[in-house]
Amino acid sequence: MSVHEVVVPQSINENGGLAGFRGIHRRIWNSVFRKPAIPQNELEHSKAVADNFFLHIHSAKVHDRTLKFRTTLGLGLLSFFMFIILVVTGVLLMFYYVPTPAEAYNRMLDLRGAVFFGDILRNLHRWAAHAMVLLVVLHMVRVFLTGAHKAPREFNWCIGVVLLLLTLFMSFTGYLLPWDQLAYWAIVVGTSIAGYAPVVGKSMQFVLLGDYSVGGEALLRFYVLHCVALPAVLLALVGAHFWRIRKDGGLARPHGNEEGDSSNTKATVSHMQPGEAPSFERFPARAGKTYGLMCVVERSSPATKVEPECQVQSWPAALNRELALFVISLLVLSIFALIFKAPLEDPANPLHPPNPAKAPWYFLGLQELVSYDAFWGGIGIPGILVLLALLAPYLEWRKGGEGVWFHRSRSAANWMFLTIMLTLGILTIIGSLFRGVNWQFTVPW
Amino acid sequence: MRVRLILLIVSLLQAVVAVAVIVHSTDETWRDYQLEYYHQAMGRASSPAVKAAIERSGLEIKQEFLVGFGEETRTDRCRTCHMAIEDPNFADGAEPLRSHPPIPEHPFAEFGCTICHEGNGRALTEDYAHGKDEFWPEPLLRGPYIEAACARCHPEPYLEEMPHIRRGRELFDKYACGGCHTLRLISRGKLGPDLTDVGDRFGIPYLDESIRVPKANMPTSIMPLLQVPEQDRIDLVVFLKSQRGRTLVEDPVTLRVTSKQWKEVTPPEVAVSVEAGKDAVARRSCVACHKLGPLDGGIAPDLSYIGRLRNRDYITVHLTDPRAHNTGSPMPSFWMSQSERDAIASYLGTLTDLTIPLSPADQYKLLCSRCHGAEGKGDGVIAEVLLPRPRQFTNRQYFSWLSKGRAIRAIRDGVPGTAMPPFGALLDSTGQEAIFRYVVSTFLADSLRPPTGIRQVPDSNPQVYTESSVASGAAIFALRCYGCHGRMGNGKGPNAPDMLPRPRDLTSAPFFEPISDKRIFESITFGVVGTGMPPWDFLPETQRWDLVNYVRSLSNTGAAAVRHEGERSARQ
Amino acid sequence: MAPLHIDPERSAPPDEGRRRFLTTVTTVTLATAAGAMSLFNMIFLKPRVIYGSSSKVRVGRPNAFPQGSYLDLPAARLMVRRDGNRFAAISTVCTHLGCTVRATDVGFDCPCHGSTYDQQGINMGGPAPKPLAWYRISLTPEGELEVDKSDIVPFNTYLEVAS
Repeated sequence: MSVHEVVVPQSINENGGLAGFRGIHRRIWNSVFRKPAIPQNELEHSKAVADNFFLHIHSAKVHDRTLKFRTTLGLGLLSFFMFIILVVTGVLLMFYYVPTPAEAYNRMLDLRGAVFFGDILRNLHRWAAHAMVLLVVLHMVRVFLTGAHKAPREFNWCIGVVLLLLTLFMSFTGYLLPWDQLAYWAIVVGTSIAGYAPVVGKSMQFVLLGDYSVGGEALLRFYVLHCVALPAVLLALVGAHFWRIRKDGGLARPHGNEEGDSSNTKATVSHMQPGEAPSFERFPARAGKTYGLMCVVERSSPATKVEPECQVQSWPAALNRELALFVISLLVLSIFALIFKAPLEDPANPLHPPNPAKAPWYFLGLQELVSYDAFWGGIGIPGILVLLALLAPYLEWRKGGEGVWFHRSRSAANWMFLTIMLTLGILTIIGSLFRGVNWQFTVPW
Repeated sequence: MRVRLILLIVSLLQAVVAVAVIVHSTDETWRDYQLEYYHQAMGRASSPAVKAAIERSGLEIKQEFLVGFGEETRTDRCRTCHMAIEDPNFADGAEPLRSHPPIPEHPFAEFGCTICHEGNGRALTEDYAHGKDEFWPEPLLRGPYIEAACARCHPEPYLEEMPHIRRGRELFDKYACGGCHTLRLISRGKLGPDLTDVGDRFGIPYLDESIRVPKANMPTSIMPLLQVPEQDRIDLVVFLKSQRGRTLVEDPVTLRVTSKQWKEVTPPEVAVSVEAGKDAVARRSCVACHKLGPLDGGIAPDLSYIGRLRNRDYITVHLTDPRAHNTGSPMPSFWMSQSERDAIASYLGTLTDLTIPLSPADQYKLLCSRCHGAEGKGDGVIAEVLLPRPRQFTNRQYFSWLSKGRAIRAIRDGVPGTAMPPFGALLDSTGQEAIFRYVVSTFLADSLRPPTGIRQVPDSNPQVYTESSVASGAAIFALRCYGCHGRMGNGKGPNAPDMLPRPRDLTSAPFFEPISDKRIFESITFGVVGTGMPPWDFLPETQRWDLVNYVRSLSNTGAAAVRHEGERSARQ
Repeated sequence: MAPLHIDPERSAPPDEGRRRFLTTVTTVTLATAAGAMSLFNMIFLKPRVIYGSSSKVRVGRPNAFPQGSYLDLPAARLMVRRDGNRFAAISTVCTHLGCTVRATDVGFDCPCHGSTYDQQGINMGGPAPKPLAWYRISLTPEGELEVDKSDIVPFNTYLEVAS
């Protein structure tokens, strides 16, 4: 069946009435999808991906390496799925939420008991939020360790860093909304850290809170940020992030034969045109011909003459994997939501700080640093780290190591990065588990 | 193919989870209770109309929306499980299906449940609704404690139906809680925490524990271990739990006016007479802490023969500012007029009735053991609250160095700045000598080692008491002494709680006034044997003298020292 | 690692039937799970408790009403009347422009535009276009009278209570 086949019943011109309904389902289908229900051959597979608004973010064909789990560990995709789950559950929760100090906590109580499915939705939202923070960080680690941030993907890395900050801020603003002691004091601590920024710190805190202390105004502001402003920005940037992946030539791939897999060489040689010099590069830097509309790329694109066999159809290979990953993530989250309840402590009480008052877990590394020095821990070190992260691809500008885990030529950079991340991780663990009353060192068991 | 298989498996699992979610979301105990209620009500139904009504009823969350109590709006869903509270047929039912005992004037539809019972009215499971989870600040009030909620609308004078809280109110006076604690419109004590909204902040177990073991919740608490019988404690806790800062019948205007009036009241004047003093001592519950004749609070010194030991001035000043004579005194400053203080002083001045036993052993038991302990371990019944702590006679090292002259002087004149009274008023010099011998022979087995080595200490301070000398002393102090004596020099440094005897309170003027620079210098140079004070002889001598001057400045006795020096040199 | 030039999807054994079966089962399962989740969300949106005033109003026990008495509840905007052993609950919302009418011994008066109704709530004068609504009144299992304002019943529907 051809895609462009349009069924025009003969009778429509002759007599109106019921005859107009004959074949209407096919006309409606064609108007929406312009293709048969289940694509049957490779051309239809490509068309199905290219013509669909939601699928055309994929190229029609992808390199088989892209689909290997070890290439990405699926972390970026998982982060995005978390975002989708968060948007869906979040919008549903908004139906019952009231951002006022008098009502917010009551609505949490109602979601816990008096609303059907309310507790599961809240648990899902809560755990997905934590998972998203974790996955985004891991995604960043993966990208760095595989050298995928290097040219020409430097700017996409920067977008990624901004996305990480936005994710943290999203989670942080959402943290306040239950208006319980946990939320209230985490935000008090978290926003005081912001107050340590030089010159603008105090005014930043004031603008963020809409008041000199955390109260009803802060709740309203955080609500708007959490539900409207930040998701909108995040969604736009996620779009840009995805778009640039394709503009930058798909996932980062090793140059030439860096992976050291001899089978590549053989493959290339075996598919050589007669009379052509054998190419030992799996990904030649300059291709004679690119994949045309199906895979618009400018540089480092797979060459057609040596590459077609490395390519697989996005439909169904990539889509199946993505769907499987989505269902897995939803499954794990649902099971988590069924077993573990989202915490809800006593109602916020500005007069009785818990001891210790802790920020959300992903800021506990900072809080740990802040306990040594307020400025350096709260602003200095994180500021430098973000700056370093943004500059990383520009500092590490020499080619080599793209798309390869722990490439030998990048070991210095990798170790530096890993040291920083591990230090932050250890600080976070100390802050969350090993700090007790008065921020004194305690042992969690 | 592998991916497809995985997809199939996780899809199946997701379907299973969806079923689990259905089970989870519909597994609600209140549904069972409602079914059970309808089942039982059917059996007890008296008329076809009721039966028809039951048949028409479905399972639903029942809620009452309650406004008009204070500024809060409450939502009570208790009736979702407690279906039968208004159904007279269920008087003998088992919880949660039981009729509420009749309480007139409190229709359920207008009052709801949580206004009296507390707990979480919005919750639909027992744990949450009854506030059993650790995070709900107001768990269900049970037994006598429910009276605490009655008092939110029925403040003093309490109703007949609230016997526990009535008694708790009386006990609050009986144990003289108001001496230390402020309670709005009831007491003005300043020593302990304000109890005005204590019921709002703490739960029953916390309040109970705070009375039973005051140090349990705050290690630095100086609240005495009151020997409160269990029934008294329950009633006191009921009373304390009812203290919410504001009752629901007081509007903000009334609150302001009454508080203002209460603050402006001056203490009542009494006639300055022995009778009025006796009356005041009884009214103020002095024996909640002190001993007076047969009555003994077991916390503070014996007043039975105080007229022989302390004069009227001392007592009046002590009542005005208990920290005037002894900076570590835990005695509360009572809100009383000068005339009442005078009256009390005159009454206490008449308490001279004392028969001194003949043997030093009996004398020790009568006069010394309340503080120093029957076995001389410095652990008498009231030792815990005294600061400085009574000397421990079994501290052999300390007493080996203490000269007999100083010991006799302490017995005769007392030790200013401590609770040690001058027993010279009771014992003549032979008696003082005898009791000293008794202590040395009984607790130290006469085995005092004579001091070895001769301490060379200059008689006078070569370092003139000047600002610069004090400042350099302060710098050394901050470096060397702050750990035990504290930043303020009040003997409450970070290490102090672990030390016995406690570090000296250097701000105590009464203690330092009669003490010479020489003795301070000696203690700094050689340390105080038998205490935590180490020798600082490695410091240059001028630095030690600067320290002496700084210590003087802490207790404001520096000028006195300068004057002493002047007099001494003039004499020479 | 699979050989470079062979698509693993295509190199699967030519077992079209099995693959189709797998796809169908997966699709059906996924659709079921997704449908169930969507259904939960729909039920989630249907409130089980409401935050305004309830549509059900308890008005007390039948023996609290003397013969021929009526109870006007302006807050709930309804009136309960007892005739013999019969009870009726009549709305006090004027059918003209929604003012709250006053119950009197002979009927209802609207303070806004002077509409009058008789004891059964039938419009007798003024601009009111139709009679007042009657609500379902019933006995709860506890024996109290309960008016359901969401349930409008035909004119002259009484609740008979055995005295």
